[in-house]
Amino acid sequence: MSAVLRHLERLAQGFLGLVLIAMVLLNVGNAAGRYLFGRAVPGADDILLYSMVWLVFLGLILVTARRRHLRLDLVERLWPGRGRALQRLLIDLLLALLCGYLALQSLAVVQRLGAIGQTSIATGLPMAWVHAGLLIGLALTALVAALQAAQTLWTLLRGKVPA
Amino acid sequence: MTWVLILLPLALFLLGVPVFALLLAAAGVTVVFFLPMPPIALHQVLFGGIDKYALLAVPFFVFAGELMGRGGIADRLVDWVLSLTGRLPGSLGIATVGTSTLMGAVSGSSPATVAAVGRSLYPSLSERGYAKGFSLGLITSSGSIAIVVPPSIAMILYGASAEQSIPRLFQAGLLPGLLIALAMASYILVWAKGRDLGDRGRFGLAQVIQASRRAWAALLMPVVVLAGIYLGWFSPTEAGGVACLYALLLARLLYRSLTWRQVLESAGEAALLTAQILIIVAAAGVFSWILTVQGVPQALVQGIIGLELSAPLFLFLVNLLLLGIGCLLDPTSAILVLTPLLLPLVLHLGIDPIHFGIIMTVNLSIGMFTPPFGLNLFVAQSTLSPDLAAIYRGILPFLAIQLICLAAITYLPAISLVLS
Repeated sequence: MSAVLRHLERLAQGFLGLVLIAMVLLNVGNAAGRYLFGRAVPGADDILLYSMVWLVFLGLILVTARRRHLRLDLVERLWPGRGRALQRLLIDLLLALLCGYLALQSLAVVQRLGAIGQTSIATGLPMAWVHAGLLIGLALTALVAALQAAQTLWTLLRGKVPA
Repeated sequence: MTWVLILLPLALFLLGVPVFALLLAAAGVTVVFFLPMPPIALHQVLFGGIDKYALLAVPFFVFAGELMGRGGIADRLVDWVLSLTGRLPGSLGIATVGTSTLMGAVSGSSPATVAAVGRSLYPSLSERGYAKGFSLGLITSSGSIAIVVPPSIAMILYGASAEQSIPRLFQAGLLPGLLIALAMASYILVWAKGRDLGDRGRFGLAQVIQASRRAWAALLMPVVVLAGIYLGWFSPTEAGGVACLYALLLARLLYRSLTWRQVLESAGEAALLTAQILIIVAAAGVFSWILTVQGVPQALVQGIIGLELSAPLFLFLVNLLLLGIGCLLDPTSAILVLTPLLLPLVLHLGIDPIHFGIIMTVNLSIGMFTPPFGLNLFVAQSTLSPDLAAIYRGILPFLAIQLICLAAITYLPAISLVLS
């Protein structure tokens, strides 16, 4: 199971890498088009911005899965072993609760934007799709954090210390 | 409500909760329990926090830094700097400072600079008789110059947060960065005199020419990026894209040091680093919005006005605050949380916001290697030596030098503003 998850993580990271490379090409192509052909790529700035929003919130899922968030790690340095496991459990539960709550707010926004049919002026993209990046990123981050909390709790209940 | 906005984030921070989560938790609790507004506003402000064109430069410069680090470009820069400093006492130490400054002008990332320069130079420093603590302290502290010399991710974030010109910030950072590099190199020169270090070679024009031929394309990169911005060819965001493409062409086609698979891995890693940084940007946007709605910056300004502080005294106190926070918090989080609070005071006291951006960046760059929690300390620990105590001892003289430079940069605004 964990091998499958690791494979999925690598695939997801590769996908995000491809998105970033595409963003670089669009960004440079936009600047080059301005000089070489006298016109920029239509809607390029909007596409780049919306791609960045998706990149950040999809990346949030992986950063959470790998516990790579920026934070102070004083407690686990002072209190290793079981103390660190309890701290992880608390943090994962907080992340699950917080991101789950925010995902519900995002769902409400995406539904409203979908209902009124708002689109981006420059690209014509439905804004519901753009904002759905937050919904998907936050909901899956909540799920990942909840699974991590359950895994830590299960390990602790068996009298072991998580790695 | 003060406890929600001050004590709750502080407690969560000390507990080790991720910075983005503690900012969102404080904002969420305030909106749900204390403010008469619908909670879907949290989504709108979270989205608005990163829906900013200037922030697009962040993923691009992070990706460029990854490509430079993995593509072996640092090694060529090291050889080039060494060919120039070979006849000076402490030439290898001076080359460490020079290479860190050049890497900063390419990648804008301090931890990446410590890792790349450290891996290249730490073994040589040890072989030539430099004390372990000195070498570790030198590499760890000189990496901090990377976020002061342009282009700098910290300055992009300050510019976006304070609504200041990023090209002007880049220009303003050049002399302070060089001042710090020069001060550190001068110290090494004095320190090395009379010591029997086996790194003093002969200066040979042939050596310089050979190293320059190997490194010319890497040396041209900061020139292309910075000249492009200052000559108005492209915006800082587009410069980030150009930096990526340039590094990619260099590593893939000219040096053939990366495979396409490694390029994709670099891009994936850069995407994760981007998410790590920009999720805090988004969360800090929500937290700043709550502070503004609650009138905290205005109350703070009124409170400080009541104290009748002069601008120099205010800057002294702010330096103490930023140095303290810099030891605990990474520059990204610190800039995004503190800029909205401090900027109104800065403007009220008539301090130039560009100058203040440089003061803030230099403070936080010092924080990156200040014990106990500066990020570069742990980068050095994981990549160079597990002996954290030796690193702590080794950084002390360099910390003193950088603090003297900070005082000069704070009280002589011309150092920052003469070029901007």
